[in-house]
Amino acid sequence: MEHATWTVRILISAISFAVLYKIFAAKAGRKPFIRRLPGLEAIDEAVGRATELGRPILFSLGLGGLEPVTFASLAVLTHVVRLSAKYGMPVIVPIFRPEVYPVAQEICREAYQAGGRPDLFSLDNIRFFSDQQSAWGSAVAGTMEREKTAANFFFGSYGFESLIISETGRNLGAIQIAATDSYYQLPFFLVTCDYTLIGEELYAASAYISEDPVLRGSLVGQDIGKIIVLILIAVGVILSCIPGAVNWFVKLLGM
Amino acid sequence: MRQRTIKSITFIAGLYYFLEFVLPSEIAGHKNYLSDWIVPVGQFFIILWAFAKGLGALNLSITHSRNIRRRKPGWAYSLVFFIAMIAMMVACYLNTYHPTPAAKSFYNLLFIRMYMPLGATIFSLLALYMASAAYRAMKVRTLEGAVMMVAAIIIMLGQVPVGLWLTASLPTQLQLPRVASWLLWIANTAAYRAVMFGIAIGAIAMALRVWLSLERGMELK
Repeated sequence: MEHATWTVRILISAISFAVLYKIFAAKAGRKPFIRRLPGLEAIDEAVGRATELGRPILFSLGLGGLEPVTFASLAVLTHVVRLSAKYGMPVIVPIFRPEVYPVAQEICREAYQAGGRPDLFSLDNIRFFSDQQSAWGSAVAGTMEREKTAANFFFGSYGFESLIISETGRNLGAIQIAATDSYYQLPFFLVTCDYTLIGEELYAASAYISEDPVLRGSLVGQDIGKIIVLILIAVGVILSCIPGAVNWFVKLLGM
Repeated sequence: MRQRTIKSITFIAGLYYFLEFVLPSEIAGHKNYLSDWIVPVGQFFIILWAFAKGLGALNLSITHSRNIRRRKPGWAYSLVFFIAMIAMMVACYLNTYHPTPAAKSFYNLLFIRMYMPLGATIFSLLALYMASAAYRAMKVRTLEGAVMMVAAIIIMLGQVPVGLWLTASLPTQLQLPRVASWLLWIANTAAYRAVMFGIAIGAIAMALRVWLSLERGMELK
C-alpha cells in the first residue's frame, strides 16, 4: 500500500493543526468573518419562489459516494429541507450512489422533524434512479420536466450529465444554484445556473449557513493551509529562476 | 447513545485509515501491521456497498410498484422498469452461469444492442445542449461575458486551419494556434490548479470536521 512521504506528513500536520487551532480559537469566542457568498444567500430566495409557485424543489447530491464533497452537500441539503419544511414544500432528492441513499433518507427525515413537519417526509421523494451516468442524468431531467420543479440545487461532483440536467432546469425557468468540485463541469453550471459556487466554496457552505463559530474557524484554518501552499509555490517559482537551484527543492518535497 | 456510537465508530474508522497512511511501511525494523488489514477492511466496505446497492434496487422496486398499484400517470413506464430489470437479471445470470450461444445472444441483445445505444443517445444530446448553453454564454452583457466570448473565439479558431491562415502574416507568437495553446495550457492550467488546491485543502478541513464529529450541518439526533 502507498504511504505518506515526510513532506506529505509535515504538510498534512501543518494544515490540520491550522484548522484545529482556528476551530478551538473560535470555540473560545473569537468569531471569524466570512465574505458574502451570494449562491448560499439565494437559497432562501429559491425556496421562497418554489413556495410561491407551489411547485417542488429538487436537490441533487451528484455522483459522489460517501466522501467529503457529499458530506458538504448533505449539510446544505439539511438546511434546504428544514427551510422547505417551514413552508410545507416537498424536496425531491435524486440519488446516484446507492450507499448515499440511506444517509440522505435519514437526513431528510430528521430535517423535516427539525423543521416541525415530520408529516412531509415521504420515501417517494428520496429516489435512487441508477448508478449509470446517462440513465441517472435522463431520469433527473425527466423528473424536472414531469414535476415542474421550481428550484433546483446541484451540489456535489458531476460528469457530462451536468449540462443535460441544468439546461433542462434552465429551460423550465427554475431558479438554479450549483456548487461543484468538478472543474470541467463548472463552465456548464456557470452558463445555466443563477448562482454557482466554485470548488472550495462548497466546503465552506455548511459553515456559512450554520453560522457556527466552530465551523467558521475551520474556514480560517483552510486559508492558512492555502497560504502555506502559496508560499511553497512562490519559493518554487523563485528557485526555478536560479539555474540548478530548483533540483534540491524538488528533492526536498519528494522526501 | 446513538449519536455517541456513531461518533465513536466514525473516529475509530478515520483513525485507522489516517494512521495506516501516515505511518511508514517499516518502523524501526518492524513492518506497519495496519497495512495487513487494508484489504480485508476494503472488502468489508465492498460488502456494505453491495448491501446498499440492494437497498437502491429495493427502493426503485417499491416506488415503481406503488406507481402501478395507484395507477399514477405514466404507470406503464413502471411496468417497463420491472420487465427490463427482470430481463437483465435473467440475461446476466444465464450469460455467467450457463453461457450457451442463446444466453450470450440474449445478453448481447439487451446490453450491447439496447443499453449501450441508449447511453450513447443521452451522451450525444450533449452536443445540442452545449450549443444552446454556448449561445447564452456568448451574449456580451458584462465584461466577464466579453472576456469569455473573446477567449472562446480564439480557442475555436486556434483549433482549425483557418485560424492559422487568418494570422499567418503575424509573428509566430501572435498567431491564433499559439495564442489558443497559451490560453489552454498556461492561463487555464493556472486556474485549474488554483481551484484544485482550494478543493484539496477544503476536503482536508471537511474530512477533519467529519472525523472529529465537529460537522454540525448534517448532525443526526
